[in-house]
Amino acid sequence: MAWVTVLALVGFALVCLVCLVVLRPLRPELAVLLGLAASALIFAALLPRVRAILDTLQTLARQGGVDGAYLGLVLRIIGVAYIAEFGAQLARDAGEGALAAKVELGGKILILSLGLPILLGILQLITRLIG
Amino acid sequence: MNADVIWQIAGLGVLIVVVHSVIKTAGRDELAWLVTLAGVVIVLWRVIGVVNQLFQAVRAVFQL
Repeated sequence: MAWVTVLALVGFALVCLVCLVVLRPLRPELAVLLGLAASALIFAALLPRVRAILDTLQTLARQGGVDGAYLGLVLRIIGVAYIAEFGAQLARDAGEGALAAKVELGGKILILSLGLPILLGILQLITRLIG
Repeated sequence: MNADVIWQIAGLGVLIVVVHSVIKTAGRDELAWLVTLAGVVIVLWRVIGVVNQLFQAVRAVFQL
């Protein structure tokens, strides 16, 4: 029944689009707020599916014997990427390219700092294999 | 994905614009701006509620 949600998604996006186009010349700041609310609602509607995907990935990885700590880290990295992209795209929509670039930079730095333990773990694994 | 919030915000926006122009034609420009500001604050409050809901859901899903 996936086609139902795609129709609902596109229908909802069209409704928001019409409201935004009507509102933008009258009150630009309200249009930005409306765009924020619309993308937040669409994002929230997609979350149950993302959770289902992540759960299946986790069970697969657990069967494959991958350490649980790295799984939580990868999950968190995906979440950071998700939200950073959300914020950056909204800022760019409102015309603030510089702000969007800063949000993306922050997202990248956070992801890098989250990913360091994984990197160290892999390096230790390699040295143990070679040594 | 119910569009109630969208209708509320769009309706409030149009209402704000109408009230703003009515008061402006009545000659009270600063009052018009105050009414517009109040309207924007109400819309902002509503949007913050929606975004907060989203962020709580994301924190639950991604264990942030």
